[in-house]
Amino acid sequence: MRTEDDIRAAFRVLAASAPDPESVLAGVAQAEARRGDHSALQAVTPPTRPARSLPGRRAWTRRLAPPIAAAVAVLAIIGLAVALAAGGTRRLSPGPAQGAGSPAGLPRYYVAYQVGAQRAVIGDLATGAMITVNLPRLYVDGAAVTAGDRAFVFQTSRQSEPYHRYYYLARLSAPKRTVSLSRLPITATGQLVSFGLSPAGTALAVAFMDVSPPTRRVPGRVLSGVNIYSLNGTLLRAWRTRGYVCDPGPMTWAQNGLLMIGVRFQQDHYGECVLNVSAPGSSLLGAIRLVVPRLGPGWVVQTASMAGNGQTIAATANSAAPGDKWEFVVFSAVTGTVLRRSWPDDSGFDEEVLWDSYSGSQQIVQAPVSVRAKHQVYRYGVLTSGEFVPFRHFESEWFLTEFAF
Amino acid sequence: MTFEEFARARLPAVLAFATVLAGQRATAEDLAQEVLIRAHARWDMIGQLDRPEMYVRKMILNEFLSWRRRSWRLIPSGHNELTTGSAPDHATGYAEHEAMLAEIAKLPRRQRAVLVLRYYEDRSDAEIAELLGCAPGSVRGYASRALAALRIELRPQQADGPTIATYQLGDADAYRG
Repeated sequence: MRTEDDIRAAFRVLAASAPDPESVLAGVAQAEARRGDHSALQAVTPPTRPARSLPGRRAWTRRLAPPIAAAVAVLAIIGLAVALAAGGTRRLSPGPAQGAGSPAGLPRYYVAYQVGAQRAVIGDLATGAMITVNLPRLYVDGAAVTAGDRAFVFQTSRQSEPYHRYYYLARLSAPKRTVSLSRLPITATGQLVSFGLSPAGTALAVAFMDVSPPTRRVPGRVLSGVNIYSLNGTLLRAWRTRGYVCDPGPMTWAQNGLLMIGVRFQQDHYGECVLNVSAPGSSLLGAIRLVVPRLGPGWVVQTASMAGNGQTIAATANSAAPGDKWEFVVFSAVTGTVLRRSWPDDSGFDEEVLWDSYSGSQQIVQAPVSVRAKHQVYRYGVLTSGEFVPFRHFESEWFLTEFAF
Repeated sequence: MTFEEFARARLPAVLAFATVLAGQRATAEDLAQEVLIRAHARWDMIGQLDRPEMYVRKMILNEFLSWRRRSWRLIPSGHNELTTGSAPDHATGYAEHEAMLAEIAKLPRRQRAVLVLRYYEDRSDAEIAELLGCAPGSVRGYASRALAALRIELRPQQADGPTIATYQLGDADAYRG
C-alpha cells in the first residue's frame, strides 16, 4: 500500500476517536459561565458588536451552563488528576525560557538541547565553538539563560515522576572554556508551565499549575501560581490563584522587574500578560496585567519575547481576522498598543521570535528554510528593522533541538 | 446559521478534523474548546458567512499552528488515544496506524497540517495554500518533505529506531537532513 493510502487510513482511525461534541460544548459553556453567570456573552463580545442574535445565544448558554458547569468542574479536575496519574500524556511543559536582552547587545552564547536527552551544548555565536554539558540521567525539558549569557539553568525531571522538576545551574567560564555544573536546591512540583531566570541570574521564576484530586470529603481543586526562588533555594515571592491560569510558553524576565507570561483565564486575563515581581500582594490575578489580549478583537500570539528594558513585546502574531496572516508585531508592554507591524510578503511572517534585545530594536528569530531535507530546516539569525541576517557560526540543522539565548 | 445549528450539524466533523490535526483526543478537545469560545464570541460575524464551518476550521488550523511550540512537541508519540475505531482482531493494522501516527506527530506542524488537509480533507493544493496563507508551491514542498520523512522513518529496517526521547544531542549527524 502506498504511503498516502496508509496516511488516509491512519487519519480515518484517528478521526473516529474525536471527542464527544456534548463534552466540548459543556466545556465552552463552563468557560462562558465563568466569565459571568448572567452576562456571559456580553463579557466576551465587544460592545460594538450587534446584539441581534444575543437572545438565542444567551438561551443556549443558560441552557447549558447552570446544570453542567458544576459537574464539568468536578469532571475536569478528575480528568486532570487522571492525566497526571497516567504519567503525562497531557503533560504541559515549559517553553525554552529566554534571557532578557541586556544593554551589552546581542548575546554571544546560547544553549542547545534535545528534549529528553541528558546532554546540552553551550555554543559561541562568535566562533562556532561548542562545549558539551553532561547532565545527570534526568530528562531535560527546558533551559534558561541570563541576560549576561554566562549562566544557564536546566530544568529536568525523571521519567517516573514527571511532575517533580529539578534544576541545574551551568556557569560558563569563557576564558577557560569550561562549564561548571551544580544542582540548585529547588524542587518544583505540579505541571510546570513556564520558567525564567532573572536578568542578574540570581533568581528563578516558575509558573505552575497544581491539581488536588477530589476525595470523599474534600472537593478537588486546581491551583495556579508563580514562585520566585533565590538560587540558594529560598522562596522569595509567591502568587496564587484558583483555576487553570498560566499558559505553557516562554517567559521573559525584563530588567525593570516585569515578567512576561502567557495566561488563559478570563477575558481580562487572557493573552500575554506581565507580572510585576515587586508588586505587593499574593493574588496572581491581582498582580498580572493583560498586555496583548487574545479574545475579542485580539491577537493570536505564536511566539513572543519582551525587550530587556520591559517596554515592548515583539511577537509573531495573527489578528485572527478572516484571511489574515502571520505578522511581525511589536506591542507596547505598557499600554498594549501596536507600535509596529510588518508583513514582509504574501506568505506572511513565518519566523518565530526567540529573543528580544534590550531596546527592542533587534530580535533573534528562527526562520524556516525551503530546502530538500528529511526534516524541516531552520535558519537562525538577527532581525533588525525587517532585515534578517543569519548567524555565521551556528549549527541550525539539528532535528528537534531547542535553543535558548 | 445560528451557533446552535452549527453545533448540531457540523461540530462532529469539526471535532474529527481537530483530532486528526492534533493527533490526540485530549489535545483536540482543548484545541476545539479554545476555538469555540472565540467563535461563539464572534458568531454574529461568523454566522453571516456562506460557510461558517470553513471559518471555524480555519480558526482550528490557526490555533493548531500557533499553539505553543513546545507543548506540542512534548506530546509523547505513540500515546494516541485510539479508543474507538480499532478492532482487536485487526491488531496488525492498528499497530501500523499507530506507527504512522507516531511518525506524523514528529513532523513540523505545517507539514502535518498539509497532510491532514490533503489526505483527510481531500483539499486541493490551492485551497490548502489559501488556508495556510502560503503559496501552492510551498504546499507541495511541505507535502513532499513530509512524505519523504515518513517513507524514511517507516522503512521496515528502521521500525525499531530511536524514539524522540532517546535522541542524543551532540549526535548531530542523526538529525541532519
